[in-house]
Amino acid sequence: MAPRRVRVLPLVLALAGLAAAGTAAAFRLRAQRDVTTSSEQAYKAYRAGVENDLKMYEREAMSSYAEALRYDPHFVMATLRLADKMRGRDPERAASLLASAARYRDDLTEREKLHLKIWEERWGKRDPKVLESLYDAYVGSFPKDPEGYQMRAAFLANNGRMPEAIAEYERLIAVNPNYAVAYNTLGYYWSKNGDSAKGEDYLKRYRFLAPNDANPYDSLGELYAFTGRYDEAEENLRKALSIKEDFYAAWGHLGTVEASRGNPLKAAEYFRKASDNAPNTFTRYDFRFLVAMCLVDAGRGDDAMKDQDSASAEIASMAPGPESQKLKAIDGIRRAGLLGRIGRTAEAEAALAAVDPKALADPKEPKSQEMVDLQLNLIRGVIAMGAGRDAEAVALLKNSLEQKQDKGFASSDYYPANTFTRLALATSLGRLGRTDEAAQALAPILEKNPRFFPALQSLARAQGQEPPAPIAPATRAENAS
Amino acid sequence: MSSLSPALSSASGAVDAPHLPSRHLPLVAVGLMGALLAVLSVVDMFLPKAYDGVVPDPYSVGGIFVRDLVPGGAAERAGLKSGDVILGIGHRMLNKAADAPPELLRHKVGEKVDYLVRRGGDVFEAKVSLTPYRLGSATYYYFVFLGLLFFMLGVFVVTRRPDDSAVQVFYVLCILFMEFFVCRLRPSSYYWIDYVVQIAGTLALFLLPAVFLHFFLLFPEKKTFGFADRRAGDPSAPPFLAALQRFLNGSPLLLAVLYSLPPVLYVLQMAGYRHGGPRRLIFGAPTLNWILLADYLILGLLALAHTWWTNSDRAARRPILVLLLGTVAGIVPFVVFAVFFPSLFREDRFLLWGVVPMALIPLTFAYAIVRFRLFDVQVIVRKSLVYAVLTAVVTGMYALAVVAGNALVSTVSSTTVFSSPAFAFGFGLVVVLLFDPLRRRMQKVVDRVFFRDRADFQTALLEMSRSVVSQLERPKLRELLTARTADLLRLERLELLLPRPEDGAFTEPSASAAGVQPLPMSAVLLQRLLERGAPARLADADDGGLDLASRRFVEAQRARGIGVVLPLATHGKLLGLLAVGKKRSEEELSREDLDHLLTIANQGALGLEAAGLHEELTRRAEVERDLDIARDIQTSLFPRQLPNIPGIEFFGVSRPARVVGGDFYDFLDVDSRPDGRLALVLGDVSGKSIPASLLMVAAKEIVNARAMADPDPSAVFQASNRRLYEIKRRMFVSLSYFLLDPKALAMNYAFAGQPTPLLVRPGSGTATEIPSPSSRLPLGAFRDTVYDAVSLYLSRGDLLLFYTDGLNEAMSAEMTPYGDERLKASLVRHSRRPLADLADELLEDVRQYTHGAEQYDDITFVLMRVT
Repeated sequence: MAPRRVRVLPLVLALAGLAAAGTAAAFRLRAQRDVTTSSEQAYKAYRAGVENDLKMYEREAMSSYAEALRYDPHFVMATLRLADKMRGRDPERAASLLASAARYRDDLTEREKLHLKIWEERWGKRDPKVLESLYDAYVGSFPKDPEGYQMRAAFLANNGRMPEAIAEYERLIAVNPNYAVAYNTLGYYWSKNGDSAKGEDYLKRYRFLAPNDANPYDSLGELYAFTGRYDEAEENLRKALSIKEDFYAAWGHLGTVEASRGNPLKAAEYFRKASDNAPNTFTRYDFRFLVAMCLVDAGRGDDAMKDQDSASAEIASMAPGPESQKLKAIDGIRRAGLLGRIGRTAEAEAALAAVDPKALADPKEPKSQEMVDLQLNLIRGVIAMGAGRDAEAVALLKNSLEQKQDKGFASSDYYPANTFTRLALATSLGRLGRTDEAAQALAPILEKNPRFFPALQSLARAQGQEPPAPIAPATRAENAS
Repeated sequence: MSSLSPALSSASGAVDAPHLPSRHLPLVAVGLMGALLAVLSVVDMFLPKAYDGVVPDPYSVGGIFVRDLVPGGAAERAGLKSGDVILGIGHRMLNKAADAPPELLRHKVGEKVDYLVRRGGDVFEAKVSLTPYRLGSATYYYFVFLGLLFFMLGVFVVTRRPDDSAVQVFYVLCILFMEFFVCRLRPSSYYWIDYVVQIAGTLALFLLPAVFLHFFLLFPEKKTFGFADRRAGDPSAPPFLAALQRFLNGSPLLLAVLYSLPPVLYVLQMAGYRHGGPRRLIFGAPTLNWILLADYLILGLLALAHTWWTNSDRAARRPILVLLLGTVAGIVPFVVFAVFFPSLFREDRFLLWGVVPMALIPLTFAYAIVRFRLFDVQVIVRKSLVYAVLTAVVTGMYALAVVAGNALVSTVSSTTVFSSPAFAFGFGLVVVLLFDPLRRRMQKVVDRVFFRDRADFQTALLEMSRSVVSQLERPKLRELLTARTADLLRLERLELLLPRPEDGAFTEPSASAAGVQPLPMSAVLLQRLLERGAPARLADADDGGLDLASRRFVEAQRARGIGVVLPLATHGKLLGLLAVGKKRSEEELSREDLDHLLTIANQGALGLEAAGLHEELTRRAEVERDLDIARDIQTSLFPRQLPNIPGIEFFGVSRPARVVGGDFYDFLDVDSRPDGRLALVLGDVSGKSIPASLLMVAAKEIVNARAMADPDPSAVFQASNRRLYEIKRRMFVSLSYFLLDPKALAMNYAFAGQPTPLLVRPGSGTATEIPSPSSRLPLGAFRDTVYDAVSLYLSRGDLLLFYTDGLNEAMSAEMTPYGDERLKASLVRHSRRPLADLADELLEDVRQYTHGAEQYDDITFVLMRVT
């Protein structure tokens, strides 16, 4: 019997070792979980929330985190993420959630502790240096966790360090290619920075990743709208609206499409829809101004002014404060510009004179006052153009462009930057017979979007040609092809 | 009824059935586990799964580069093209090809899945309708076939020789090869089975090279290195060489290092990767592990090549060479195409080129088992089966030739002659005519390859039987019956037990000194063996009816590994026993083996009998030859010429009873001058033949020497007596010595046990005995005997007869002696005849008296006449 026992013993030992190793591995894997929770259901709900977060499905993500907390009320990471989602909607509740999460600080993993610190700093002192060091520490400690790169990239973008932010987003998608926010940011960045093909590539990935979200369709629609691919833009935007009917941005970009096609009245209609669905006063006001601008383009100056008056009344009814004061100043400028465009020069100049430049300036910005002056000169140039004082208008508008006054009159996310300035300049130059200069002024617009109807129309007028017909949507068959 | 059942009856049926005792359970467990994993893998590969028909580039990153598309597959139908890059599937982005299968697993067959694709600078979405697909391809079929081949080979060998450590390692090697092919070289299914079998495949990858090398360190014999021994006398030999040799020669540490190196290397690479090092994988395993695998395989091949190179046994080298060639042909392409290409050039398109030839390894081993009884495993391939397969193959070749011929002709010509059915028929006819010669030729090849050993064995058996019968030399016969037969039947032990000369007990001569129990003639076991004349299994022998001696014998033989005993008997006489040990293959002795042994035993009995007869004849012939020589010598000792003395005539006769005799006579010229004295010596040595003749020679020489020194009869006798006494006791020499003085016609003489000579005086008409001395004891009887001499004066006409007792005591058929009186009468009757005639007459009278009866004693006499 002895020899047999000797043979069996190693087998038993090997099996026991295997079992022990398996158990240890299982514990190790469990310990490697990125979050602390006592409930499997809570963990699953939390993972679903994170997945939704990656796709930027805000509501679904909130719902998942809330569900996770129902299973495990002490689930710190779910609490923190829910607080983050709640911050824009209900800051007080968000603060309360953060405070509750902080109570479990001692029971957390290193990763969770770092998350907590970051959130506390972001909602507290918001010291950029401290935040940056926290993000660096996070990425250094957890190089495989894409969230570290995502947080650092967002921080860099928010602090105007876009090239660094873009590089960080690139790193993020190399670690995890399923971060929708990275594609969204990269798509926007490159489409706004001269590489629309790259931007389109990223945005298409974003759209593919989050097909049930309206935002990627809107983002792609916006890109197409600003590059003259109106049909594709319209298709994406309508898809976005089919997903989310009250998506103001999509309505707004549909307005952009129609304005670019040369259908100002239809554009005004879409901008009005956007305005109606806008989430806040500022946005609503912006769209109302675009409605007025389109009505002016359509030759319905009076209607435009009525709309603007209505918007101005809303602004005037705002509670006093620095922000309402600034908005009133902006309203003054815009009214002046609109009045100038329709030839009501005196009213325009009076409106401009009523604007308090100090209200427009940002005391924290050193060149703020200079920028405000440039804006005022731009409006003066528009008024001069409307009054037929073309030489004066050309001088003022050119100066504005040379000083790289990016914002420009009527520039917004829904209307190309400086577009209106260049259109006004080209009109005056055309009237002065300086055709080449007019074409030169319009060239940057057409370079970005060769099918931008207002520019094509302005150029034709400057060159004494018959203005082209507005750009019609492609037929169904063409779309299909 | 005796339960000593003949082995032939008990051997039938279960003789060849392999069985695995409980101590082999780990081997069974390994086999079952391996088979289970392989089956799981195969099932997983052939379960239909959702598939898009994309053939990806496994090394692309940042998306999946579409290397190719399955024609008519889902992706092709969806508009994808080769060169596209798949960025995402099912609304998840992908970085590499390995990300795709788990994504596909989330979808069902028939489901339309969104693909994000980049083609050139354009990114677009496509809807791919997934189709059912079995991952197992024709290539995987081949891998499964290869794995099965290894598995069957391993199981076949281990069930026959489960206790052989080399076979055990080979078995594990086969299992690992199967796991490697079936579980490792397979596309990932990302099903739960995949994780299990891939882990098994990876473990196989780690263990396989070590086991491969381990096997070739044990097979075909345990490898030992002697590089340090060769330099032992060299003082400059570094001590590390000796340490290295000790390490390589059976150190347990060697195997520990061998087996731990691959996993350690794996862990180190993984650790390096975790700390930011480059990650280079081939089929999911780190590159360095593949390179180590190649190194181990090459080392294993070198070990086998070294064994072949250093083996001096030509017969043993052949199977090793076959294995070496097969293994090299199988392994080298694998190392080149499956290891070096992917690791050095990141090129795995030629993997199949490396894996396909690996079939040569199991096939070569299988061939070596059938052809050379590798591992001492005997496989009987039925000729009819092989011929049937051969006929099928040739028929297939025939059909192929017909089809190929038609196809070939149709491509080069479209004329009606070639495309007509008549041509096809004619072509087929030609092929048919070639069919039989081809089959015959191939049949010869098959016979030579598969059945030559079997035929050789039968021939060897026949030759052995002939040799056994014709071999008359007992040592060579023993060699044939033991060592040669054991080699022929591949037995570990075979002994021939022969009866001891002293008591007839059967024992193995060389082993008897080692305390092996002999089997006495009276043992019951011997009686039973003799009665049955068949092999007996010792395990069944002791039924309680055996006597003590038989039981002890059985126990002792079984303890020595003897399982069966066969009698060597002829004409009812037991001449020997064959004690048969186990087969080298550890298989039971088959009925066929026992038949062969019984045949050889029967032939051996005849051989032993013939050898015994031959020995007897040889012995006799040798004696005859010795006697001839002795007779020649003895004859040469008698005087060649009779003395020529004026006035005295002599004639001597000696007729030995057995070719050579103990009688002699001689004349000595003692004074060494023509007219000097002459001594006549007549002797009779006790006993007959060789010893007697030898003593006779000695006695003659002694007497001669003494006589030449001092011819006085008494002095000669006294000196000669002492000398002969010293030479040989209890053998006596009767001698008479007559010193004749021719001048004086006087004779001085002495007797030592001899009859007294007879004297016939002229005109007396009677024969009288001459005067006798008082002391007549034979020489050599007593140490110090004193002999006296007597003198006799002769006169003209005297006739003297000096004789030995063989003359007067010649026996008749009735055993009555001839007698002195008859002799005297005969002498007187013929006394006037010349001496030669007289001698003849004397002998004739004796012959007539004895009447042809055998001569019992030498007859010697000398006649002397004074003229």
